[in-house]
Amino acid sequence: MRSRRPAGWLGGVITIDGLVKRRGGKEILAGIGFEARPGRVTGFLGPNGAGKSSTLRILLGLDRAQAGTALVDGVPYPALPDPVRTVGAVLDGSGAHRSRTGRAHLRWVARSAGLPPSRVEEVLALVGLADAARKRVGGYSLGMGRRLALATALLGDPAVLILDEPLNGLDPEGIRFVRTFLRDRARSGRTVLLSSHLMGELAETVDDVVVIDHGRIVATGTLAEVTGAHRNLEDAFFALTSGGGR
Amino acid sequence: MIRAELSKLVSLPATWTTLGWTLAVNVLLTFVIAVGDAPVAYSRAGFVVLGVLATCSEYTGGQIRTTLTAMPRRVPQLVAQHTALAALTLPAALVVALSGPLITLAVAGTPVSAWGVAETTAYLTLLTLVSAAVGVLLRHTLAGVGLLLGCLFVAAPFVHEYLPDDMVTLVVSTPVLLIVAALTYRRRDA
Repeated sequence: MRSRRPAGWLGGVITIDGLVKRRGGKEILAGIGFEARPGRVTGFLGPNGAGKSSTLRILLGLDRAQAGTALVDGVPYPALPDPVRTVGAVLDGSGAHRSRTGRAHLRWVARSAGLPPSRVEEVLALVGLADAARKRVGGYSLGMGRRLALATALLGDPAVLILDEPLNGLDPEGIRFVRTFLRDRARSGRTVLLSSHLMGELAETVDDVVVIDHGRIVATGTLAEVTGAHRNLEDAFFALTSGGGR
Repeated sequence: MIRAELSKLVSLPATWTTLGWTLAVNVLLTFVIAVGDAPVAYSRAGFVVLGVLATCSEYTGGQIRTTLTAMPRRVPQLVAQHTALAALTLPAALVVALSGPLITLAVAGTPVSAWGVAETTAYLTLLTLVSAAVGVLLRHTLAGVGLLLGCLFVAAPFVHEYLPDDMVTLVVSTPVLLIVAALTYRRRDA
């Protein structure tokens, strides 16, 4: 099957279909589905509590859905032969124990995927944490923690990058860095899926948009399609989600 | 996976602090209150802490998400984690188990019982693994340590006459708790 794919094909198609998640009798996801494709930045947008994080956690095999599928290249995440080289994930926080150093954290993740220690130094330099590598994660600022999480996600140079609210807690310089960086990833043929509740910040970054509200997808399409007749993405977003208790 | 888990344990400062204190307390108690391996009755608390820390530290800083995205097959990951823990604990338990009898040998000339040392080492290693399994179930370091120490030092003396010897209890309860922990861990939301 692999040989039929065009040369340079990195894979990384995300397919979510009919996902249902209930927690404590409350329906968090009501059968949602969408796709994120290689070479594009897909913005997964919705107000807080709409079900964005739950969807990403199910996609990453962290949480279990009651129904539906979330696949990467046709395979559920836990069945991926080489997860670290296929998908990189940046969820909230650093994802690292506070008493370990940034470098020690990256080392054990690298080791789990059989990556050389030199790769740890590469990603530390890439996110600008080389000087703080010997510091304990507990002493990191919020922004440094986010950069450590990004470095962890990039260890395996994965075909897919999944980011939950990547702009949260970043200063303008950090926002600019993340935006440029994600555009570059997509340009090199990789898949980028990011969630956010900040519409204005994203319009220049995303190609495709999926809007979720109260556990239901209310719009999908390219940025232009979803914006439609509205003045901008932000207006379109509020029009689409205005039924949601605002 | 085992190497990754070992790297995790070794790079956690609390691992070394716990082991250091456990050995220090054991040596001290040997001089102060007892001879031979009797102080282990107290210093085994250190191994309880070590085991609980090994699994509960996953729930600090959201590390569990990093662990499960890097190693998403949960049961093999948990097995690797416990194997790494056993590999680290065994030599540490041997040192602690030897320390008491060696001091007694030096001070009083009482010969060291190889069988006794081996039994203590096995006991401490199994106790660490049980503690790690309890850590998986509770996901909270203080709760885990509290529960286990309560069992060892408060509840155990009361029910002692109804239970077989400590070692037999541990040999039975270790695999049972490990399996319960693995089944829970496999299914639950991280």
